[in-house]
Amino acid sequence: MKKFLTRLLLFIAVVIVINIILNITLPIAGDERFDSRYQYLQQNIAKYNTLFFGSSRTLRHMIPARFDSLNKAHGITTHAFNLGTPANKSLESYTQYERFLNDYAKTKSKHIKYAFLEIHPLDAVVAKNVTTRKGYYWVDGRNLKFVLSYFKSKIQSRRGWLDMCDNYFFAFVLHTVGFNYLNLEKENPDTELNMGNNHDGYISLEDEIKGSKSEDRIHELKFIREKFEADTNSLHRRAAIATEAFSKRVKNQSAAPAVHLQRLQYLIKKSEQLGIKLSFVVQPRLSGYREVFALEDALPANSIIEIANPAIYPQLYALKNAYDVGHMKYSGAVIVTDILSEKFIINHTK
Amino acid sequence: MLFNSISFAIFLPIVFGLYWFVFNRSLKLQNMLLLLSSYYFYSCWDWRFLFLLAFSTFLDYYSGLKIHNSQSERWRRAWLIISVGINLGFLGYFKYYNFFAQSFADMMLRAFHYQLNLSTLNVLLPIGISFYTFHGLSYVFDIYNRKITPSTNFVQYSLFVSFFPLLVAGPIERATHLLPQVEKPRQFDYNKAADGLRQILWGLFKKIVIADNCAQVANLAFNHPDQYSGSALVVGAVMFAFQIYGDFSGYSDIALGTARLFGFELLKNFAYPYFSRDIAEFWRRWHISLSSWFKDYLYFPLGGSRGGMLTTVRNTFIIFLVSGFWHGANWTFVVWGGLNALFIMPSVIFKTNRKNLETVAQGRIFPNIRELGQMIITFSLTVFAWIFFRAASIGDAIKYIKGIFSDSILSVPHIPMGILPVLVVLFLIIEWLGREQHYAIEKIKAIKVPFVMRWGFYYAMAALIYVYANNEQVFIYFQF
Repeated sequence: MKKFLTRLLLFIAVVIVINIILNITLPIAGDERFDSRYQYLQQNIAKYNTLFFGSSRTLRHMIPARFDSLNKAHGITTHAFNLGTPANKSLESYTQYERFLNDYAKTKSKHIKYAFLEIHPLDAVVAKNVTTRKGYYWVDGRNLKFVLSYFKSKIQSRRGWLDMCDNYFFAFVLHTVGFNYLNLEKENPDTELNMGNNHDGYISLEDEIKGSKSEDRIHELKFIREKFEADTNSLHRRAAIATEAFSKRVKNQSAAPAVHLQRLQYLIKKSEQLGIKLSFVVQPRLSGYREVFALEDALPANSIIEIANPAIYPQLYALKNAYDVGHMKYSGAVIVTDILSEKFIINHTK
Repeated sequence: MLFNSISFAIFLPIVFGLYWFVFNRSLKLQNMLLLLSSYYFYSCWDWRFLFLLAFSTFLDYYSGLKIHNSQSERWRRAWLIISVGINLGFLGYFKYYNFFAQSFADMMLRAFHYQLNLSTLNVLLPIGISFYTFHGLSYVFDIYNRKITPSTNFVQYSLFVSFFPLLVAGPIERATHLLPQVEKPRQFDYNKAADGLRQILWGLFKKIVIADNCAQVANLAFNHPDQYSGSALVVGAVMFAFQIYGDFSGYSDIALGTARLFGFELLKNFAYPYFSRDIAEFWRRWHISLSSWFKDYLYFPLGGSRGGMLTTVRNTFIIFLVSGFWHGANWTFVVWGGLNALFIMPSVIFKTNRKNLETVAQGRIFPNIRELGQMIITFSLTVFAWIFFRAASIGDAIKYIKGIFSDSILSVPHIPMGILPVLVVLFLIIEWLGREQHYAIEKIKAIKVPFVMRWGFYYAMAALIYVYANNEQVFIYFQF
């Protein structure tokens, strides 16, 4: 038994050591949908001066071509590219943006003037996702530390904290000791489609269903739509949450998790050093606004663009513009983009 | 709980640790631990079916005792009928009721234009029911035939029926083989345990790297045969052949390897069936525990080959049709069984079905041209039959076959496969080189290479498993 366990543990230890070394020295692939567009952006960086980062809400709600034309009418030249990525956690979006900043710092020509980064609270990793590359590729030591502090500041009980963090621990282990330097995943048949009709990274949900070559993807998007159609009240509940949050909003009511605030402040500072004006975007239809309000209170006023208040933007919560509970159809994306442009122009002229 | 899941990767070391370190001094406790672990393992799918499993186990245990203790032949037979009737009743109810109800209604409509409204059941198929029912049946048959005496220890008997490595998809064990192992104290054996781990690794490779990747290509072809050329459909069918082999034999390897970690030897279920030179050899190498079950408990009782040619032909058709039907409540499985019966018939009629008993090209690296030709023909026939097995209906299978034999059969197949052909070829080479062993990489330790290379091989396999393990795919044979 001793021989068996010794050899088994030795083999596991060898695998772990080799993988740690290779994971550190070799590039690790991340989210395919982000990576393919990011690669294109890097090759064509001179064409763009504005970037959108965030989750699927950013991807589905920000139409770069429309944003550019609206700004142009007010004498502001933007050439935007959308890097929003489905199923992103907020921390994952921050990590993607930071990766861009690090790469951009190494380039000679500095064309990027504006960046928009979606902010929202961080939630737990679902167990079934934790073993997917998407679930762990970004959970390095620094991000794990963020997660632990973040939930510590939000959750009092040790058990509750552990429930939120356990899958992140596991994701960190997979990130560190997995065979992540190997990327043998099949090519995504929708890589070209995901670049968008205008090659600006934006594609609406309707166009994706029409154009996707992936059966699974079509099925998934249709399923989401059917689920929403079966319970459209979910949107009313989201609207009610937002209405209540905005109506009862009191300035400096609560403090944002310090680690979250510090990360955003760091990103502002780092962006400024590279000549980029970073704006944080608060999207509609979030499941809660308390933390976002706290961040808004703590960050410089001109660094936040909020497009979420149902009292001011009721059309963003209208059923006709909704694809599902969290996302807009193209018609809704047009409205979000128009509001974003309007607020951007106001900030710009201040 | 799937063998290729994180939960099993946690479950197995815990049970292993408790088994060898905490309960190692008592056989009773070890058996009890394995039984409770097996019930927990099963309850991870649906705890409600535990009652069915427990009832079925008790029924066969009690019937076995009654058959053994009954003095009159009438009572012995009565208890056998009770046990077999109830077991097959459950199997029929859960697995075949909807099929028969629908088929009867369809027949009434076609024959008499009468719309019969039979209600179908909206029930889940209890996982592994076909397997544990057959475990129990073999036990009562063997007692009835006076081949064994019944177990008098309910825990030991329950463990024989529900030992977790074989509970949901076999191999279908025999009381003569497994029960004595359950009854005897087991000592830890380094070589056996190391061998078990190696077999688990190979099983995971077959399942995750080969079967799950082949499944993606096969699914494309079978779900949209209209969109692919004849040659691409051939590729799709071949990929399904590798999918089902990698899936089921991979499961069996994991089951056998896991059992070895606990000191048990389970029945071998696969012996490189795609290297068979005729269909009879294929069936001696494919799902061996089921084939031998049908041979012992159906073919021989029907008279086997002792009643002349017509009886032999009839019995051969019966076991293949029943075997097909055992796989699922769909006519496609029956046709699949029937096709295999047709394919095997020449060798039955000309009595050449026991010609190729030894491994192909034994002691040689390469087969000769004749052997190669025989293997290709046999493989082609099995692939053809697999089309019916995989298709959703007989109509779909015929549509698929028509698609194959179209003008585009000789065109270059355009179906996305990535590096799958490389993986399949690599897999075939390893299987070929290891075809005389219990499983393909069994004797890797005996190859005279530095241990670094051997560990490098394990490392490469683990890497491929990890890379392709993103999505836990359910094993095909779980549905049976």
